[in-house]
Amino acid sequence: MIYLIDDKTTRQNDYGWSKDKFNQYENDICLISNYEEYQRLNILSDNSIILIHDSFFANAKFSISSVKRDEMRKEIIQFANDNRNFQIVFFSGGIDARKKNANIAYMPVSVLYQNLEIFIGKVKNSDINIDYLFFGNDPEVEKNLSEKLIAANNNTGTFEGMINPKKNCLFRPEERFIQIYDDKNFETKTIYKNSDLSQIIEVNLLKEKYDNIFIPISIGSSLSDFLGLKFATLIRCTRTINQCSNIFIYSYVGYEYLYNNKYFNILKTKNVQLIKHKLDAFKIAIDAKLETLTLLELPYEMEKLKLDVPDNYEDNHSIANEWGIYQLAYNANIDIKEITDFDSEKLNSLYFKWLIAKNGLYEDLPQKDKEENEVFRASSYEIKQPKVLKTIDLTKIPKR
Amino acid sequence: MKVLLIDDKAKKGWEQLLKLIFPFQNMVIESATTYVDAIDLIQNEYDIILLDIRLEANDYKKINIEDFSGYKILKKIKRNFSIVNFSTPIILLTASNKIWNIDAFKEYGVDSYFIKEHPDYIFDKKASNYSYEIFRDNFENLLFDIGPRRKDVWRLSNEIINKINKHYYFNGSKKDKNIKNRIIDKLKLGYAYLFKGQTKLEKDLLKTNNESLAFIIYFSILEEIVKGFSDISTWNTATYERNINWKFKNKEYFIEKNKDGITVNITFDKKKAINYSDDTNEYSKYSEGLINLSEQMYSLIAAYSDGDNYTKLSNSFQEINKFRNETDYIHSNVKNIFTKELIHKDTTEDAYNNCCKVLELINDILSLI
Repeated sequence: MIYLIDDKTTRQNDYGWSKDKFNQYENDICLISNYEEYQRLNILSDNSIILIHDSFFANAKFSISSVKRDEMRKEIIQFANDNRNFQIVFFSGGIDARKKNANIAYMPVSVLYQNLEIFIGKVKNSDINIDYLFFGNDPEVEKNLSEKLIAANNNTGTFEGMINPKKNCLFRPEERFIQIYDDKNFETKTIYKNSDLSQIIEVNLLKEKYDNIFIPISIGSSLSDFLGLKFATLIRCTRTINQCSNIFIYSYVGYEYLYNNKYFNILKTKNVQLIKHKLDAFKIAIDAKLETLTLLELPYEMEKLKLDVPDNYEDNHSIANEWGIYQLAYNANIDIKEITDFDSEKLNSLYFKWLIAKNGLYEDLPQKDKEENEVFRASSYEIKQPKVLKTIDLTKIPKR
Repeated sequence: MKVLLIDDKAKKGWEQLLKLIFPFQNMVIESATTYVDAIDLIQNEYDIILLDIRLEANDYKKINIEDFSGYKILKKIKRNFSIVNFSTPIILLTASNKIWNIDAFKEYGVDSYFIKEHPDYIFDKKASNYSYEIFRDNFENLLFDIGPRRKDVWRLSNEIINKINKHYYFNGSKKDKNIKNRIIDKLKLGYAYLFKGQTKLEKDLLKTNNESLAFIIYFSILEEIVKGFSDISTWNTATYERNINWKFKNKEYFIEKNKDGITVNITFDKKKAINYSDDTNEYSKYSEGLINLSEQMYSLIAAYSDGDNYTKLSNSFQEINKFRNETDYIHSNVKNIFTKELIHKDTTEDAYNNCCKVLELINDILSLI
């Protein structure tokens, strides 16, 4: 039996799963949307397939303690470790890439609902393979891409080294990477499988300014997620000294594989180029005379990207409020950090970074507005507070 | 100063941000994040209210504006002229950019609005900053200028309504109740004109002056007051024409026919009855009921007050009456027709002050008995 545990039932409709559609599969999939239902059904059995929202246990609606919630999550993972026929898939709007470790998998919510019907059909025919949930009708896509990558690595051509005045940063994946034995022209950085993209930027791109940054098209455990596009977008949207550096994404596949990726439009922006997974392509890239991208041009370039509100947002209303607060604080010349109720973690999300980049909010307010706002706030404080004429110390007055 | 923020995201940053933008030392912000909390808090009096359109998750499934929780709260605040926050300025704080939503709220008494910028329709930087400046100015203007003025007039009006609702002169016969209802309606009408937003076009070209209009409306309440204080049992009530005798309900005569002629209790500076013999012009004037409002008022004040109180009230009326004759926004004074422009900028503020004076006078007169 497949158990679908998702407390965010309203999004199911948005992903094309209406009540009627679920009713068609009522014998194949069991829906759970709250803790009470979860408790009532004994889902931890050897042949169960659990598809569970990653934040289900953390959901604040539960009337149980956070310790108990953590225990429940650990219990389900422990059960999976002990029972290899038991399959569990954690899905979330905050997960960008597909990842599988034995019988425990992680995937984006949109992909789960997109491929759920295919997966149910296969399970009905006793073909239980999480790859159908990952990749739909083409579970071999990863295998095919892997073969392409190996072939590309075997045919990288030659790189005639030269010492050039430019500073080049080369990111390479942990496995199956292109070999460039050239530490004179490149600073090589390794991206480990489970690395967080924001952290990679934090560790590698804050101190040293590079002219060119080379990144692989596939990052992480799932080649077909083509996270190199997301990484390039993140570099452009994150305020660092390398925000406007040239970015070359070296790829073993052509554009036809990338059109449907939600970060594809980064390739339409200035100084982000897709180059071949060949050594001579690196040389051409280094030699290219690109006009520098400036911070002033960045909002216009970022406008070309059309990022959707992340799936892990409560609703469209929440992002509007967060953005509304951010914008109003900016216009009032108030540091967002002063608003402690504001979830500043949100500022680290790519979506928020993109909004800030495309609206040019890195720049300070014009001096005129800044001064006017300061005068307003100062005068508000001075004028509106009661005027203290004299202070009487009651302790010095004798009691009658 | 008390501010009420009604917003489901109040505690997610909005409350703090507003405190930082408006750092007035004596300003307290209270927040309601749910419809139920809001209904509870609006029982208290506030100096300004910031209202979100949608507070509940199921608001997003609703199509009719009337069903939105914010709209329901607004209707509760405005359901009756005597509701504690009826006059409190309200700024709509919304992420909706749908003008028909904003219009619907404005139709029901919202003073101003601020659109929370949404990632789907971001303003350019200049417009964004301008939007903030307008919000800031509106907030200050409503909190420190329009709000207190409105509250003063609303409070005076409600004091009158409370008094008149209990006053036995206005709650006896059907006719008395009719007078009462007209007074209450005129109070609302005056309030409406006084605080009706006037466009620049109306002010500059069409010469509207709502303060003067409101003053005329309030002043006209005195006509009703005098009739409410009058004993109309001697009147020809079929046509509501007065017979030669006019007395007040406390049995004091205003105009009394006697064997020597007609006695009129009408004096401007002291209580004194004047007797006119039947061969005088005054006799025919008073016997035919050609009596202007000021004479009726002085007589009423004389009939119901003594000493200092009489002086205070008659002086107060005299001052208001003088202003009314000079303003002549609707009623034209002969001298003014030849010598004065219809609209003077300076008279707007005077008109507002005189509105308050009329309301205070009405309050005082109702307290006489």
